[in-house]
Amino acid sequence: MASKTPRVPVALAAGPSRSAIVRVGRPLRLLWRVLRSNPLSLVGFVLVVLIVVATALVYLAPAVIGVHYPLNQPSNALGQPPSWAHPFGTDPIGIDIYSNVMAALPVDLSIAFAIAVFALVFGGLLGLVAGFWDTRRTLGGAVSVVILRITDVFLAFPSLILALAIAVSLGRGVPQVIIAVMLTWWPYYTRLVRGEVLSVKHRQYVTAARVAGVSETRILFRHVVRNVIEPVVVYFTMDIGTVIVTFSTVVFVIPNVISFPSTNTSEWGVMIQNYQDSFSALPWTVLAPGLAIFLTVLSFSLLGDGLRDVLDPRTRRAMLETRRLEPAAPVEKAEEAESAGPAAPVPGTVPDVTGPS
Amino acid sequence: MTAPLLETESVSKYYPILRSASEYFGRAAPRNVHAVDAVSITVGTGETLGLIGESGSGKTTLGWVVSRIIDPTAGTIRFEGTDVGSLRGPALRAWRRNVQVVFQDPIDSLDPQLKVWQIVSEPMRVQEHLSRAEARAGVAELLPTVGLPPDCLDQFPHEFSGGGRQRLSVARALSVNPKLIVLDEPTSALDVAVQAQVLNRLVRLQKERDVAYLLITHNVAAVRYAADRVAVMYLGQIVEVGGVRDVLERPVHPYTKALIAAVPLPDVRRRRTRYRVTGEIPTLINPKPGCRFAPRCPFVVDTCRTVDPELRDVPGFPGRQVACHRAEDVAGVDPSTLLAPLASATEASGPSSVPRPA
Amino acid sequence: MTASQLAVEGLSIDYEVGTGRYHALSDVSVTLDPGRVLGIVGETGCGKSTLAHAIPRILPEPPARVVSGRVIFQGVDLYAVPKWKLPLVRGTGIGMIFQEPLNSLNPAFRVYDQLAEAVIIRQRREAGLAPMFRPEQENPFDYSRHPRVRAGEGLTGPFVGSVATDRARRPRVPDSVRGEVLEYLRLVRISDPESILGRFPHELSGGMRQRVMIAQALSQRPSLLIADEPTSALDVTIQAQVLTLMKELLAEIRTSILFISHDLGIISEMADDVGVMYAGRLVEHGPVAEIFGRPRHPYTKALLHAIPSRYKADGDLDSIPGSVPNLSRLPTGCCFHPRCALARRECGEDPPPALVPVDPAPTGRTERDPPHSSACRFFSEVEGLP
Repeated sequence: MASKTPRVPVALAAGPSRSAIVRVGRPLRLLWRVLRSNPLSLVGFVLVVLIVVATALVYLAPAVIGVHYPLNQPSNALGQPPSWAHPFGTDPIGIDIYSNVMAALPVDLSIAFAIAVFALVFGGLLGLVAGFWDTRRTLGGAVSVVILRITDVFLAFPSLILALAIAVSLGRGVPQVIIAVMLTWWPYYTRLVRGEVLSVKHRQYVTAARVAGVSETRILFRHVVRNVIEPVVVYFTMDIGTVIVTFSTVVFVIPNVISFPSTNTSEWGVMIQNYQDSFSALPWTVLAPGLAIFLTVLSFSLLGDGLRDVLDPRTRRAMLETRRLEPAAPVEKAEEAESAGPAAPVPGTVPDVTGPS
Repeated sequence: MTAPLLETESVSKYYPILRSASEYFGRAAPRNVHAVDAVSITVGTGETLGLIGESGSGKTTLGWVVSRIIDPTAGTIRFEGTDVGSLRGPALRAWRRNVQVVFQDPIDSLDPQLKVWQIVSEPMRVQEHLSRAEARAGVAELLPTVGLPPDCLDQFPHEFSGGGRQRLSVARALSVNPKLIVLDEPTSALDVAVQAQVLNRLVRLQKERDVAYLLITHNVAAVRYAADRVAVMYLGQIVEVGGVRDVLERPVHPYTKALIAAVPLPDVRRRRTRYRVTGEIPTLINPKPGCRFAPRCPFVVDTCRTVDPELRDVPGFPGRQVACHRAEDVAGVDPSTLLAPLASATEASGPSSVPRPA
Repeated sequence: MTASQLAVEGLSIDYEVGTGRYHALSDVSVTLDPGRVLGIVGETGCGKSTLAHAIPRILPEPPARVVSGRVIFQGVDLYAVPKWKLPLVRGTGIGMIFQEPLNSLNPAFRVYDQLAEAVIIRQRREAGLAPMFRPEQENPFDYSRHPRVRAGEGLTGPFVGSVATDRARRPRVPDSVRGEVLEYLRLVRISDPESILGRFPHELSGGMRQRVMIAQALSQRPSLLIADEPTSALDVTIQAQVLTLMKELLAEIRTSILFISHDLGIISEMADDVGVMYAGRLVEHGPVAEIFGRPRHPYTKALLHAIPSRYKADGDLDSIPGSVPNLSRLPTGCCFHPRCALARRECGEDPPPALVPVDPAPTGRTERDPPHSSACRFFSEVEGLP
C-alpha cells in the first residue's frame, strides 16, 4: 500500500512522449468507468449505439435487418398481429409495419439532429453574445437586451403549440415543419448558454486572461466557450429526444404534411396519424411507431445523464485513473518537490482538492 | 530623482448602489460604497510594498485598479511617469506586459479546461505572438524557476496541489517579465510550511529579476518577511505607511496597533489575555466625515468623530505617514496594551445565572 | 466525574473513492477530561477535520469507512450504537461549531428561528417530552420512560421560517423560549440582541454570525463542544474578539472543548492540551506549555519554526522540505520520515512508531495535565535540532 521513495523525482508519465493510442485511450477509459458506475447510462449508451447501427444499416443494407422496399407494398397478410414474418404486424392492406418503422429511423433521427444542431449553433451564439457583452449602457448591452426579450417572447409559449402555429402558417410540407421547430427551439439554447456564460465570465481565470492582454473576443472563444460547453452538450443529447417527439407530434397533428404510405420513406408521426382510427382493432400499428419514439427518446436521455457525469470536472477527476508515477519527496533534502495527484477528500464532500482538513 | 515605478494619486473607486426613485430623479444624493477613497501610494522599481488590511479595507480593489482590471472613479495612476488611467483597447493590452497579477484563488484563476503550457504561456503568446513550439519551450524553461518539474506541460490544473497551482499562477505572471506583479493574497489558501516556501521563492525571484511587488494580504507575518515598505488600509483609506520594520515594531496608528495585537502568536502567556478592541467592521455607504476607525478606537476623542484625519508625517518617525489626529500622543503606546488580562470569573460580564451543561 | 468525557481509541478511518483509498485517520487515540480544552493542530490533510466529524459520527459513511477503533462518549461507544440513535447524543450531548457560518446557519431561517429550534429541542428533552441521551442510566438510550412522541409533534410552528418577526411576540410561543434565546445572545456579547432576532444570516457580519452559531451550540448545553476551525474565516481583529469571547465563556460554562485549528497561535491561546496531527496520525500530545516550550517531535518543532517571524534581510524563512503526503500513498514506516531531519534507516523500514511518553518538564505541570508523549523514536534528539 505504501509507495517506494525513489532517490530522485520520477518524471511524470504524462507528456508528449505518450503515443497517440494512449492519448485517445484516456477519454475512452473514462467513458467506460462512467458507464460502468451508472448502469442506466450504460443501457442508454448501448441503445444509442444500436440505434445508430440500425440507422446505418437501414440506409446502407436494409435487407440485413429485414427492411423491405417498396414500403407500401401490399401483401396477403392483411391486418396480422406481430409474427415471425412480420415482427410488428401488418396493416389492413398488408403493409409491413416493421419496415416502415425502421425506415423512419434515419428520417426522424436526421431531421431531429438537424433541428437540434441549428438550435444549438444559432441559439448558442446568441446566448454567448447576450451573456458576455451585457454591460448596461453600451452597444453590447443593448443588443443583449434585445436578444433576451425576443428569447423571452418565444419562451413564453409552450414549444409544441408554437411549433404547430408556425408550421401551419408557413404552409404544408416537411421543410416548413422543420423550420417551424427550428424557430421554436433556438431560444432554449440561448437561455441555457447565457446562464452558463454569466457564471463563467466572472471567474478569476477570465480576469487573468484579461490581465494577460487577451482581447475580449478571444477570451470569449478560448476561455468561456470551453467552460460553458459541458452542460450544453448534456442538454443537447437529451434534447434530441424532445425534438423527435415535437416533430413527430406536429406531423401527427397537421394532416397531409408527409404522404403515407410512400415507397421509400416513412415517419413515425405520420404513421400514428394514419393508423390512429384503427387503434382498437390493430393496436400494433400505432404501438410500434409509438414505442420506437419512446425508446429513442429514452436512450438519448439516459446517455445524456451519463454524459453529465463524464463532463463534470469533479466526478471526472474521481473517475480518472491516476496510476501515473509521481515524484515523491526525494530522500535528499532538496528543494521542495511537487507531488501531482489529487489530494485527500474532505468530510462531507465529493473528493475535492481544497477545503479545511 | 527618477519617478517611482508606480504612483497613484488620490485614486478612488466607488460602487454605486441600486438607486431608488428619488435618487434617480435627483431628489436624494446617490449612494455609493466607498471601496477605495483618495489613496496615494508609490512603489519603486524592484521593491515590495505590502498592503495590509482586513475585509472591506479596499486593498484588493486597489490592486485591481492599479492593474487596470477595473477603472478608478477618480484619481490618476502613473506608471513610470506616464498616466495610464486612460489607456484603452490595443494600447492597454500592450501595456499589460508591464503589470501582471497573481490572483487570490489558485483554483479559480486557472482555466480548468486548458493545459499547463497553455495557461502559463498565455501572456507570452498574446504579447509576442509565439508559435506553439516556442511557447512550450518558454514554459518548460520557466517552470523550474518556480519549482515545478518541466515536464508537466500537458497536465491540467486540478492535478496539482494548492501550492502547485499557486506556482503556476506565479509562472504565468513571470512569463512576460513584468516590471510589477500584483500579488493578491498569495498565501491565504496555503499551509504554513507551504507559505514559507512560496515567500522564499518570491523574494528570490524578485532579487533575480528586479521585479516590484504589490503584496496585498491580511497576513502580517508575510508582509514582515517579504515587504520593504508597508501601507495599512482601513475602510478604503491608508491609515499608516512606512518601512516595514518601523511600522511593525513601532506602530503609530491605533488600527495598526489593533491589527498587530490581534495576530495570534504561539505564546502560552497570551492564554490569560483578552483583546480590548471591540466593534465590527462596517460597510461604508456615503461615509460621514470623521475618522473611520473612531467607533472602535481605544484612543478616540471628540475631534476624531467630526474631522477627517489627513495622512501626515509624524515627528520622531522618519519615513512614516499616519492619518490620526492623536498620532503624537499615541505613538509611544505599545500594541500589547490592547491585550488586557482576562477578567476573573467574578468580574465576568455575563448573566448572573450562567447555564451549566447537562 | 473522574472518568474522561471523551475517549477516542485507536480510531482509523478510510475514505474509499474512485481514485483510491485515503487513510484519513490512522490509529488516533485521545482523551478529553471534563472542563478541559483539547487543541488539535495540523496542516491541511492531516485529518483533524475528519476527527472532528468522526466523533459525533457525521461523516458520510460511504465514502468514509471506519476501519477500527472506538469513540467513547461518557461511557458509551458511539460506534457500537445503531446510527439512528445518534441524534439523541448530538446537540445536548455533543455540540459543534463549524468554520463558515454562512454554510452552517440555514440561510432561509432568521436568527430567532435557528436559536429557538435549538432551545426548544433542549427544553423538550429536559422536560422528558423527547428522548434524550442519559449516560447515567443503565441504558442511555432508553425510551421507555418517555411518552411516545407523536409524528409531527417535534416539528411545531417556529421551525418553519417565520414570515414576520411578530412571530417572536405571538402568545403561542412560550415566553421562556424567547427569553432564553435572548439570554444566549447576550452570553455571546451581542449588545442589542433584540435587533438581530429578525435578521437572516447573510445580513449579519462574519463575526456576528459566528457568535450566533456559538450561541446556538451553547443553548443546547452540550457536555462536549467541538469547534472546527471556528475563526479561520474571520478577519484578524474579529477573530481576536471571538477568541476572547470563547476564553471568557470557558471560565463560565465548564463545557469541555475539542478545538481544531491549523494556526498554532490560536491553539496556544485556547487549548490546555494539544495534539499534533500529521498525515492522519497523532504525532505528539501533551500539555500546551510543554508542546510549545519543548516540542519532542521533529514535525512539531519544524512547524513552530515555519511560522514566519523574521525580516527579508535576515535570510530565508524556515520551511519543511517536501510536501504533505498523499493520504492514499502514505510512506512506509513513520509518515514524516521523508521530510524529517532526524530520519534514519529504521524510520522508513520499521512500522510507524506509537506514542511513547517522554520525560516530563521539571516544573509547571499540574495534576490534571496529561502525560507528554511523542511518536518519534528519537525524541530526545529533537531538542538539539536548530
